[in-house]
Amino acid sequence: MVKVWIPALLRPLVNGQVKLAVEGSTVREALHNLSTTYPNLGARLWDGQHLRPGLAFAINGQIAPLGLSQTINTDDEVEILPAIGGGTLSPASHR
Amino acid sequence: MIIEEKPRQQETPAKPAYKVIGTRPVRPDGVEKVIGRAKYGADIDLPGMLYGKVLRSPVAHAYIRSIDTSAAEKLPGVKAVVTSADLPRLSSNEYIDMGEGGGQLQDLHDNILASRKVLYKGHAIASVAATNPHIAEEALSLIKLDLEELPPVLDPLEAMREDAPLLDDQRYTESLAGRSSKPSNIARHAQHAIGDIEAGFAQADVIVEREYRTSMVHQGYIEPQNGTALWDADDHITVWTSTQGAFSVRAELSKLLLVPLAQIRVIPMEIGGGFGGKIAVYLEPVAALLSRKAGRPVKMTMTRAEVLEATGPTSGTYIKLKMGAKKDGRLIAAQAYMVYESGAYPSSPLGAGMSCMLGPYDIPNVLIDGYDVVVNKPRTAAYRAPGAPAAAFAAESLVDELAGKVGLDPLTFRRINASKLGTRLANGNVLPRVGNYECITAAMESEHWNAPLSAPWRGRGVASGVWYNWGGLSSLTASVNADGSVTLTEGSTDIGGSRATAAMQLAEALGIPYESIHPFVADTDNIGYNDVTGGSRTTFATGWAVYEAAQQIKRQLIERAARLWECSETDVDYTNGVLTCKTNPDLRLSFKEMAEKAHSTGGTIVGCGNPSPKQFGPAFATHIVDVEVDPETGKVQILRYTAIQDVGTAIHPSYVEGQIQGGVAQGVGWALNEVYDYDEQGRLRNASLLDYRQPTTLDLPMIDTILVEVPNPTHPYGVRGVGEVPIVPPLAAVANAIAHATGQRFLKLPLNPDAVLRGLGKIK
Amino acid sequence: MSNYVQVETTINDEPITFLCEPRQSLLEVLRETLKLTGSKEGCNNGNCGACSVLLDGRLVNSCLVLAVEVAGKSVTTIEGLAHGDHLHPLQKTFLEHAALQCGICTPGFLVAAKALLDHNPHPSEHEIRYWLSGNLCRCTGYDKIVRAVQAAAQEMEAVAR
Ligand code: FES
Ligand code: FES
Repeated sequence: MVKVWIPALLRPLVNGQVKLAVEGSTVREALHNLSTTYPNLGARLWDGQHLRPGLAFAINGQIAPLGLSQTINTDDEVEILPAIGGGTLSPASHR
Repeated sequence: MIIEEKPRQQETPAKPAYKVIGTRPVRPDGVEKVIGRAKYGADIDLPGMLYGKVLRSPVAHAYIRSIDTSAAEKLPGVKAVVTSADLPRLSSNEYIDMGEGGGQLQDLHDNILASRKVLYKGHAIASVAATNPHIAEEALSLIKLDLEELPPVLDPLEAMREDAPLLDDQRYTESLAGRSSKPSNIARHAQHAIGDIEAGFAQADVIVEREYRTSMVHQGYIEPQNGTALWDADDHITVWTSTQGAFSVRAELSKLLLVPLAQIRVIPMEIGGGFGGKIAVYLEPVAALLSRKAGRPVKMTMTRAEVLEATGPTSGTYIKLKMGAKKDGRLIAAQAYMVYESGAYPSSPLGAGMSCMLGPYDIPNVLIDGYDVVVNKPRTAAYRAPGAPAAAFAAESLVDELAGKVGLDPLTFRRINASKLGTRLANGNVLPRVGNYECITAAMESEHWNAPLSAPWRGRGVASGVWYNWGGLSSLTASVNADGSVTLTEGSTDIGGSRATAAMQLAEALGIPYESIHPFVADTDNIGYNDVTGGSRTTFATGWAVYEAAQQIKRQLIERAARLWECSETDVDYTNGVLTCKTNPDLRLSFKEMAEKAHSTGGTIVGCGNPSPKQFGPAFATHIVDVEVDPETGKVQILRYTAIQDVGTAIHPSYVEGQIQGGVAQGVGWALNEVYDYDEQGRLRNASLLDYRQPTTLDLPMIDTILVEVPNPTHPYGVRGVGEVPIVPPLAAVANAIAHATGQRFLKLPLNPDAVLRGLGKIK
Repeated sequence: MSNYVQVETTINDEPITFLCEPRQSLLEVLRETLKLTGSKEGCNNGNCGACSVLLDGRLVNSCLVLAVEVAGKSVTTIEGLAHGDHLHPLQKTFLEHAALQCGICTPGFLVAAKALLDHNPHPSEHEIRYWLSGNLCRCTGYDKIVRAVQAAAQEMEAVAR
């Protein structure tokens, strides 16, 4: 199981929880599994097969350069972040 | 008594014995620049060239009812007139990432030439190309505009109100939680959170809360925007421009003009300063449209008033910040409400401001709410460490007050709370090895900090800052020539010496003299994709690329030597520019000798580098400044300035110092004088360099630098970006110094004589 | 439309005749007509010094001088500072002291600094700052520029001795 941190603005969609354990070997899989359990969160994260813009991911505190395709291991902590522009943490990499 | 723990795992590795890195050679493009031969964007001259000028909105907010260009078209000498009707209709409204900043395509489109509405004074409406610039200007005065004026919204807090006039009735507030149900001038709401904010403040012994404001300010580069375009009959477009990113210009043009990338060639000219402001396109698409109509090349340059009124300054800000500390000086909680004005279209560096504000500190409980708000001012663009200086002005001013309240000197307070390897920031990131602690320590030990300062009306201030830097994409090739020289073809535009630092890293990697390397910046047809020169990425990522290219060259040299010497490749050693055979010490070839043999041993030797560095090294800085305040005139004089910065490894120390000194100068200008002074109608009162009042030689002393070198573990030479963080601390450092000189806290910038006298109660 | 004026002048020690409109500035003629693009335009209203040239040895902003005014006078631009491949000491010290980053202000600073050293070979730091306060640089914070001028003054003195 990996742990996914839910940003404050999305917590109302997951009954107020801060961290959720979920199966998945890539960020995409983990988020899909979460979305099955919490369809409201799913509706916010996905636009069809595509992730909505403005989201980024960090794995154990480091920005995931491959975004959704980034592979993750058991015990990794995935963080959903607002994408940040402006030359710090390039938004391109997590779109 | 505070017991400070030195952070664990903070040993700095011994610096390798570099041969080229750390020296101060003359830059390869230097001579051309001192003899006046270097070609900047405005220096271009093409056969049959026309001159383009732009008609701009005289008001800040209006509907465009009609534009009549017929009289202008008839003026002799006029060859083309364009309006937004000449821009192709967009089929999508995707987000365009420009590397540093970005925006929705439709917004960029409307910013190039307004269609339905004008959203700020200076908004481009139409453009004319004529045989000389004076005729083009005359033609502009013949264009008839029918505008329906609307009330302008200039203050971001007012713009946020429910009853504020809307800039765009189709704009909704976006956030992670979705979009708002009603349209709003608030384009975005973001939140960073860590820990439990209420529990945090409950544990605090001292709490301070303040509201800070900064004005919109401009990058202030001395070379105005320019762009020259030739649109050929076969729909190939060539563009000559001063830009931080030729590939970014190409991408923006391709999306705006609906022309495939490969049909657009962007030739980067020398660039006269950018600081983030020369990434978004303004003139280039207009010049292209004019050229298509006229069938001739069109050159456009902005006046200084146009630069100030219609390119991208950075956001004015409102920040309400509350921080709590324990008696022993440990920070326990921080809460912020941040408003960044975007100008006419969403573009503020809010996210970076939120991330950088508290970056120098390890605080367990943080909650930051940020709002990106549109107002009737020009669309903002990146400006050196976008978003961070204003945020640091708030945090570092408040930290100064807190330090005083718990009875600690401001450096000790900072060091106790310093973020370090493993610190989790409120934006979710965990810091790698950084030099924050080392910078504060170097400041404490500096001669400046320990020098007495005692006259009345004098004060000393300190402040820290962080910029996380960026990696990004670089691509280059290094071709070995038959005489042992190397041609280094890169695609990162050189804005202040990066050709030198790339050449130095290549020389180091190959063990050959710096003088053997001949770097130049190629155009978009001649090299692979490179991200913009921005985000303090070039020396870092292009350095990576250079290193990769050098490894490829080395492998080829070794292969060739093995073939020549009929030994195995593992028996060939390449060190300090010399190939030797480990099994036969008589066999030896220098880099130059091997280069001479390249053609006969298998062909040209070329290396290329196309890295995509995953991690990059955050840069921290701590600044110390002494000021003197004249209580009669309110003028603040900077007496002494020392900037301490973790630079990773200083490739060319002179240019590192220069970056720091330049950033300090801009920060001092921001603190003391620079301001976008709008009247109630949204007209900029000070749209000239004299009135905008950026620092002159007389406003600054020599700026001392202390280079701390904590190598970045993720770069072969330990490079960290150095260009941006130096503008982060000065605003607060100067404000703190003034507070100590006058006994008065100033919460709003700039601290020009007027503001200082007001603060001292001398004028109303 | 155009009533062109013929102007005879000397630029960088060469006699030159050009045609211009009375409304054209010296800067515009230097750059667009004579293709001497070393003088830069940062503001076109006398605020930045990027267009500095010497007019009969006096420092002026060429954007504020009408081209017709230079008739019979002598103009020195950045292109006239070096002699062949022999750089002026200021050009050398600017390179050695990394006194330029983007370089757009550099021609103006060099011309202005030459004017200073021509009339005051031993300027103090304050005199240098005072003299150069009409030239804006946004990249360097001026530190290395001032140092380069000091170094050039020293070098020129050493050569003179
Ligand atoms: S261009 Fe002449 S002073 Fe600025
Ligand atoms: S070096 Fe860029 S303005 Fe001076």
